[in-house]
Amino acid sequence: MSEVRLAKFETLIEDINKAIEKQHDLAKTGIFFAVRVGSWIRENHQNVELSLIFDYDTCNEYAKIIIDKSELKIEYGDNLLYKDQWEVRYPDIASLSDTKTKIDAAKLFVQYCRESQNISEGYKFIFWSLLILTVDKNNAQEYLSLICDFAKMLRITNEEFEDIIYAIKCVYNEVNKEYIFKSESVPAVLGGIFNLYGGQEINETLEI
Amino acid sequence: MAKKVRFPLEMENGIEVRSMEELRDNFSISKVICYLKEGKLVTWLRDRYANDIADLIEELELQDERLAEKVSEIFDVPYDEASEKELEKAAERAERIKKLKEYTDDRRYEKVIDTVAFEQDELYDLLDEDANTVYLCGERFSIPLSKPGVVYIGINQPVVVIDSKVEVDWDEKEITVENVVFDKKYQAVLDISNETKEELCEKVLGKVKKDEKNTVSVGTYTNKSYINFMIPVAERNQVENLFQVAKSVIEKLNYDIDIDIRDLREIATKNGIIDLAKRYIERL
Repeated sequence: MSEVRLAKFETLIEDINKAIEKQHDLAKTGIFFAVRVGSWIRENHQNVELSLIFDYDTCNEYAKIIIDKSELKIEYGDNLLYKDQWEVRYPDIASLSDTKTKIDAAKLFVQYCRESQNISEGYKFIFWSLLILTVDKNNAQEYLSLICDFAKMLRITNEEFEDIIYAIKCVYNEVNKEYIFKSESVPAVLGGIFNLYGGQEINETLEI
Repeated sequence: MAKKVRFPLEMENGIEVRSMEELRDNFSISKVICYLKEGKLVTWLRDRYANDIADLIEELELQDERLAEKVSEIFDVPYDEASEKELEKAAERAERIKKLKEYTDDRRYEKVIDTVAFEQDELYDLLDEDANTVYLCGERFSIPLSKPGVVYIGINQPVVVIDSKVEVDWDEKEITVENVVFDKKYQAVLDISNETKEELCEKVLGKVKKDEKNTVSVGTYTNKSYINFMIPVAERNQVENLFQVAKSVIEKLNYDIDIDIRDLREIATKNGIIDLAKRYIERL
């Protein structure tokens, strides 16, 4: 696997991540924050939450790039404990190595993604997880089952799930101009992808 | 000054009682005895300044054969045959919960202990009572396919014996089976059925694609994830629906990093650019 290919893929993921975060910041505040106030970004920038699903060590290089370069930004809002609870307990992927720890972490993650200011992170979590499956089919049955379990726990509806899948297809330029979004929330969060690839225009930035 | 927190007592059907009047109106002898033995009853009474009753309760001997009768007398509620039956049922339930704990620590199942079958006869008894959901806790159970409208949920992933030589259409039977392991015979039927389906699929498609555009099967939904137990039972079918929706797309999407230059590369290859210089030099 050549370095050029990996670098190309890395750039793609960074662009997607940036497009999503820009869309989100614009929706929330009207300003694109380079660093969002009231949330945190880990020093190593890894999407540690994805290791609730995937075993990083057995992922291929493309999947690892997604885990390394994508981000979730959980905001702790009024509850200042989340930063301490999550970042201190689970600072990196290695901290989620055993099942009991994962169960506890999963509960905490779902709890916070159910808060109104973090609902978008649940959609992104599912989006990045499904994207990994398109580049690495190893253990796909187990991972896709787990992704669907998380989607249910995060209270993602069937309609929202279908829209997230359409976002995945847009990454692969399988844009369908006739596609009608089934939810309002997913285009609001992932709309940056649709516009990035010249897909459907999202004319309104909708509040979640 | 901090307010005192007074806890309620829970009677039958989850009814919480916070006063003597409420307790008498919803009196459950088995629940009250249980609280008595835990020491909570006296605390509850003293919190409500019912000290005279609390004193009488404290004087009772917990091993007294007539304990239930005396408690009823103290609270001035009738003690009759119904109360005795309630006590017997409570004792039986406590035994069953104790047995359940040999298999699982999950306390959710205690609430449905009345619909747990520990052996085959109990399963039949529950079906006789038209139970809609039967929880299976034991080694091996035989599922009657002729009784529709039942959901069977395994607590400890028991083996279930399905007496069928063909794959069962569970939707048609209106039977749901979850968190179980099929017996070897039926599992063999399923394995053969799946192989046949794949062969048929290949014949219809014409060939199995082996190139970069191959549809890679992700298999079927499995409910064995480490978080699956947190999903309400009633919603688990919906998760399988999500799986099917995603599966149909994910299987066909395989990232090709050269997708943007593939056409150009094909043009270059077809026009013999590769080794062009070498052939030219050889002709010189």
